[in-house]
Amino acid sequence: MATPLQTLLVRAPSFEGLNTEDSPLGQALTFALSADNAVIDRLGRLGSRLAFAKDTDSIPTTETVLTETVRTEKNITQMGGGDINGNYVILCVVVVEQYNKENEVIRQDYFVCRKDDDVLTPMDMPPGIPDRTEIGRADIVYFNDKLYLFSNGNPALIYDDTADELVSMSAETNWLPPQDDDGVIATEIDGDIALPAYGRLWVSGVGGDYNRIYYSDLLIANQWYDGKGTPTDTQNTGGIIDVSEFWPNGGDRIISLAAHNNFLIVFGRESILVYANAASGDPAAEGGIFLQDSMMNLGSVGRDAVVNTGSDVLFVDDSGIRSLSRTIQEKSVPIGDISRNVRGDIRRVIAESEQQRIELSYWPSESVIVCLFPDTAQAFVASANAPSSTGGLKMTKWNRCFFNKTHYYENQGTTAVYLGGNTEQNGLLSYDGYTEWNDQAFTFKYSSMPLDFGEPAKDKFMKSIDYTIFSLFEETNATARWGYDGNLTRKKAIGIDALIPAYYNEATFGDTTFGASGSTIRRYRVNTRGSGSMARIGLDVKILGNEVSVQEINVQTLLGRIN
Amino acid sequence: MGDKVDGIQGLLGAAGGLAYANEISKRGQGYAKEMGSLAGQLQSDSAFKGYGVNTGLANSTIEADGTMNLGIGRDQGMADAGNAGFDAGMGAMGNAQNMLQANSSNPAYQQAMGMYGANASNSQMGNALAAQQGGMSGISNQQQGMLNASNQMMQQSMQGQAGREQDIYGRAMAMQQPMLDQQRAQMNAREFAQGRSGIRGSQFGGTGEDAAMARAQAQAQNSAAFQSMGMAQQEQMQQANMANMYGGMGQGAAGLQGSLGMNMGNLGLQNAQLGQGAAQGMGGLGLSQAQLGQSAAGSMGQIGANQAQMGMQQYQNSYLGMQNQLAAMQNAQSGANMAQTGQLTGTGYAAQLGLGGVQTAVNADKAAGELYGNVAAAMMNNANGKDGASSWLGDIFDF
Repeated sequence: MATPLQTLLVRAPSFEGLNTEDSPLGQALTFALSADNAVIDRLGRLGSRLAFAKDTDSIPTTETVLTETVRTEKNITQMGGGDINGNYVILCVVVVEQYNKENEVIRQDYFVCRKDDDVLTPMDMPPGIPDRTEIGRADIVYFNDKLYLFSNGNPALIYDDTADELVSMSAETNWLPPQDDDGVIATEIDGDIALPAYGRLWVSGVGGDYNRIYYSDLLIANQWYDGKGTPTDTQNTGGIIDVSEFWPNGGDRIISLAAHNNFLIVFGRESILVYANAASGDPAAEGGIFLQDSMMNLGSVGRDAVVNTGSDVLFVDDSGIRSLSRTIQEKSVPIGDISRNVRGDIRRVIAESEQQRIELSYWPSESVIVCLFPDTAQAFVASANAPSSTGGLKMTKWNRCFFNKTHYYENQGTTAVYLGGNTEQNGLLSYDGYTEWNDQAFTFKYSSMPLDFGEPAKDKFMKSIDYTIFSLFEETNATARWGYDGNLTRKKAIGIDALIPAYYNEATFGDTTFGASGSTIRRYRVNTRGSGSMARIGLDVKILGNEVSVQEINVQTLLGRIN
Repeated sequence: MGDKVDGIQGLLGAAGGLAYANEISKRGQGYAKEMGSLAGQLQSDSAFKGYGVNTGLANSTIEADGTMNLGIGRDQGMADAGNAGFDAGMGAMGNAQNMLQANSSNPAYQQAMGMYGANASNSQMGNALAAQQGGMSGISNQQQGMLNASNQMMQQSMQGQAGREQDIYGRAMAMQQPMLDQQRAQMNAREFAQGRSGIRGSQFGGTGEDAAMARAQAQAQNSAAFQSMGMAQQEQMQQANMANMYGGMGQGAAGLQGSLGMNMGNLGLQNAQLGQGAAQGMGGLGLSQAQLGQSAAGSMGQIGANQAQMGMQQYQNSYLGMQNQLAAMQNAQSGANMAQTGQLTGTGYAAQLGLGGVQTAVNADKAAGELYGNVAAAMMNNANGKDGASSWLGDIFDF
């Protein structure tokens, strides 16, 4: 006797993103086993990310080209920006490498370029920079209407948007190096870990000392600690914090600095120090800054692997992306583990990556937190919206991330995300639109957890899969995939329709084609075959000028006998 | 022809002259021989013939050759007695010399000299001097110590107070240092516990708490500094007073030292005077004894001298006979002289007469010779040319 078809309706499948940590069996269908180039869209669905779109057209650097050079690569390795007297300026560090026919680097040049619309204009730098290679990993921070470029062993450089040049901080008229009655402590602020916060610049690595933090005078970035009996500027409140006594594991070095909620958070490689009351008028005064907490076996893998989301400070640890505020609140395990759902995957990637290049960035307008691994051109992306049911944030994964740095731009209500690309991308990219910088499609890929339809002991014979897909702008091709026992061995191509939505007052009758907004959501049925104890389904969609989200999946299957 | 005759005349004159000259010469030689014989005769006649003196004492003779034989010698017995007396005098003088020598080693004198020597090394005086030296040394040291202390105190009291204030301040702070270190350690611990360690600000050098503690410590230091100033002033006054006190003690010690020195000097002087008196007494005794010795020796010497004088007189008397004989001979000498004078006078007469005869012969020959010479010369002048010119003879015999 024929058995009735069983219907499994999954609404907003995998809207909780990836989960590779828990056993795939018995998991809710709200998690995905793969979600490539995906985000959790504004309606909580799993959808395609935006494109890495072209932004600048060229990088007109002026390096000397050697005769042996057969190939030149330009990479934007660092970015920073801010509003300088009403003009938002983005500075990029461009590393130019020339290769010979043996594919060996025979020359390196370093430029600091300013984004001028679609051109990166090189800025002049003061002569006599001791180690220009360190410019390649400089820390560019914005502070009090100026941009500061801090690099290891080099003078701090200042850009104030008055000329196409950077000047040395020590050349400023009000320059006051760290000093005391015994003399000048540091002739230059030559550290490469900088944090603008609470009206001061906080810098570590000065003189190669990564156990000290030099903080500037209030709103005067050129004045630093003055421990003389009578300070040169009696109003100076600059100072020094030596953290070497407080490492809970006996010793560490400062990797990164962060500010949050009146805290100064000092990240070591394997420990974290949390200084409270950092925003006091004079941190050294009574009632000023003090160490409130310290943590062992937690730390940042790199200077740029820390980001403040406004409500939280996230950082990349060896175990993944961690949440500091939760850590502080809980003060015990389990601590905030943002990447909990992909812990194993991200831990392996972190371990295999060049950790100094790992970047954690927060894009508020996209409500995502991007953990970028430039050397493998991939990123783990966490939704900054509500966390998943496991406690971790909803995670997806991006590939084809051919950029080294990101910069979130916000100026007078306008937001953008700039991505530091390379020669092939002619400089900067932007996270925007649906067309990649090279006009090549990328693939949004989804696959489900194994499905047992509540009868794990019985064979499943999937008869059809109905994909309800939200799409926009452009038709595209997709591939429906399914399989049994954990594999997606079967597939069928489907065409994804797209209708241009009509928005109020954006298009009028007769100007263009428009239809009802609901018409962009359509169900695509795919007849399937085969059997197995566990079923899996998936979907690959080419993204090129279009947008796709998976809204609903309906699987119809027969249940067989008990194996 | 005339010339030749003249010449022959001349030759004959010459030959006659020569022959006469030879004759005269022969006559002279005969006279000389006669005078020699006369001289011999006179010598024999005028020679001393000697004489003799006969007295009751002895027969003395003077021989022709002048030899005298007194015929008497000294009286040997008297000479021997004189020698014996001389020897006895010499013996007495030797005894006197011995007595004088014995006096030079006069025991009393030697004892006196010993007492002088003993006085020079007078143990009492040595003790007194040692005691004096010891006392003076001790008191001198005491005085020097007092004066040094006084000087030191005076110098200290005259020094500027700043250095001393600093010293007192340093000591005060050194005493406080453990407490300050403890406070600092407690502060560091407190700061560490509060998470404030390692923070340095421009306004405070360190933290505000560090500055508060530094202020508190600075106030304590200021207080200590002011206290140090007061203490330094007090100390300076104390030092001045102590300088005075030590100075007084030093002066007292100096006075005491002077008194002790004088006492000991007097004691030594008295002791020395005693020694000198004893030595002087002994010296007087020695001197008297020496004078006695000298007097005895003088007497003894005088006796010896008298005996020697007597010996000498006796010895001289032994020659008294000879003297008397010589005196007799002197008386006889005048007779001898008269005999000799007569002898010589006769001889003189004989000589004069002999010489007168010879002289007469000579004078006769001389006159004859001169006459004969004039004849020969006239003959020879004929041998010359006319007018006195030369002739052949003249050419042979240049006249």
